[in-house]
Amino acid sequence: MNGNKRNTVLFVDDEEINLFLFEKTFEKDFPVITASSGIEALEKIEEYKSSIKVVISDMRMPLMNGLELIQKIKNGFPEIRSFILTGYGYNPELESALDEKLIDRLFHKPFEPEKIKEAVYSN
Amino acid sequence: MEVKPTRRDKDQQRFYLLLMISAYASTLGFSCFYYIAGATHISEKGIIVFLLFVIYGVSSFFTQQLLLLFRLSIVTAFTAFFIQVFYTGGGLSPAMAEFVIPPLLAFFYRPIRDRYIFMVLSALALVIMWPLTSYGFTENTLLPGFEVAHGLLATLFVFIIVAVFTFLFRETLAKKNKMLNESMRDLKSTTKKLIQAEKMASLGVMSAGVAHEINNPLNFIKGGVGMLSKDLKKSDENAQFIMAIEEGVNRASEIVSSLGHFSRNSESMEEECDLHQIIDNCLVMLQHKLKYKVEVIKKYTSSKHLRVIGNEGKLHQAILNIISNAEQAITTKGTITIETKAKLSFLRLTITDTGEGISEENLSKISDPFFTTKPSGEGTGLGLAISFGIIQDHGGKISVTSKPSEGTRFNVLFKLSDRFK
Repeated sequence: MNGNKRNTVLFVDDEEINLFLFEKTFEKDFPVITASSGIEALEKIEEYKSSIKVVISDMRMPLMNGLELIQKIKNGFPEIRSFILTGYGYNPELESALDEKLIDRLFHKPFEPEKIKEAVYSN
Repeated sequence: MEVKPTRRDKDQQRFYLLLMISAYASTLGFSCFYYIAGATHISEKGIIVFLLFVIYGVSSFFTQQLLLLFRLSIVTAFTAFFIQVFYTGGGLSPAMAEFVIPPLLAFFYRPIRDRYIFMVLSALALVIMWPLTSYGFTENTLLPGFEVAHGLLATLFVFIIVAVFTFLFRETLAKKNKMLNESMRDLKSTTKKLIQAEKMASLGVMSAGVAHEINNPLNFIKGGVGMLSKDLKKSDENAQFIMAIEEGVNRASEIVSSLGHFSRNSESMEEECDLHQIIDNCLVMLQHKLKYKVEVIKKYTSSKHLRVIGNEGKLHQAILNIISNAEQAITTKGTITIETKAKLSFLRLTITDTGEGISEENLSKISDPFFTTKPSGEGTGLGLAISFGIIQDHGGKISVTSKPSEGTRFNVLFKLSDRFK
């Protein structure tokens, strides 16, 4: 695996199994920090600040959904790239967020590790 | 403000025209007869009545107040009948029967109240004629020898007017019935379409929810298997099991994803739809029906950018219905050929099956809602009607050719998006 180790990824999902699998899948490719809710994600961002370059979030989560979380993150840290990884096949909210460039990429579950790896590495 | 004439207005104008024509003919005819028969009292007044009717006729070109003209005409006719009866012997006059005419004429316009008013007026006229005649106020001014002719003429007149207007009344009634039937049928078809649309919509909401819930566990399986397979060599026997699981996950996720396309609840007609993708999704959805029965031959054009602008969910529905019908037409084994060809800015899609075909007689009906050859309870007869509707909404053209026991071919012509030419 080449350079880009600085690209720490924050992965947010309310399912513990997804957090575990994501971390294990990419542990050799880039550093992964996980959070199981939007609130926790915001705390992690405060904690790690500059090292987090990419946020990948689930869409449907209790209290704060993926788009709301990303909107909050963008307000404080506009340079962080944000992806959504969702189980929804088609969701008009996500499509328009993609059009408005609120999110940079949209991935669907079950995900292809290669596609996510490529997106994280590309700038 | 411009007032658009309604169907009822048109009917009333037609009726008014007929009323005027009969008024002119009868006033002139009777005036002539009475002049010859020496009853100049009547013929003079008959000419005045004729002139009045001419005024009514002319003014109908200048006024929208048709109701007023109807009332004036009937009152005038009523007065004319009264004069006629009065000077031809009162209660003894054969023209007495004419009093049946005013209420009859009032049947052709609204308000309905007028019918009762003229019935009462006519009844009053009949009743009042009795004392008038008994006490000698009325007189018979006809020259002797004209009584029989007068009797015949008056009776004939009543007979003709009653016959013509009763016929007209029946005709209007039949027309109204027909209109009522038509609107009932429209209502029925709209209701069923609405129910169908509602069904599709709730099915969409449900399948979107189910898809989301299934995708998470699929993610567990795929992720878990992916991690497990990392440490395995290709030769390892376990690698084959892993491959089987991976294949299963991929297939399941493909089905879930194509399900999602049908559930797109958007109303937008501005989506860029990839037709090949849509057809493939439909084939996945119908896989369980096609599998052991139908060989699907795909002849896709190699041209890129085959995008049609429209609503992806609806196009899925339209094409699913066509392929589904093709599958149902094949009773034992057969093939469905799906071909796409791009030419200039058009895309031609042909779906040909080797099924039982459609008879010439039924071919023209397949786009009618509720037309079905399936036993009742098995088909709504809406599938193809919906497909036709959706394709037309997308500016496409659809035509069908078929030979019984040889097969059916659906030809669909789409206009490709300008953005991708």
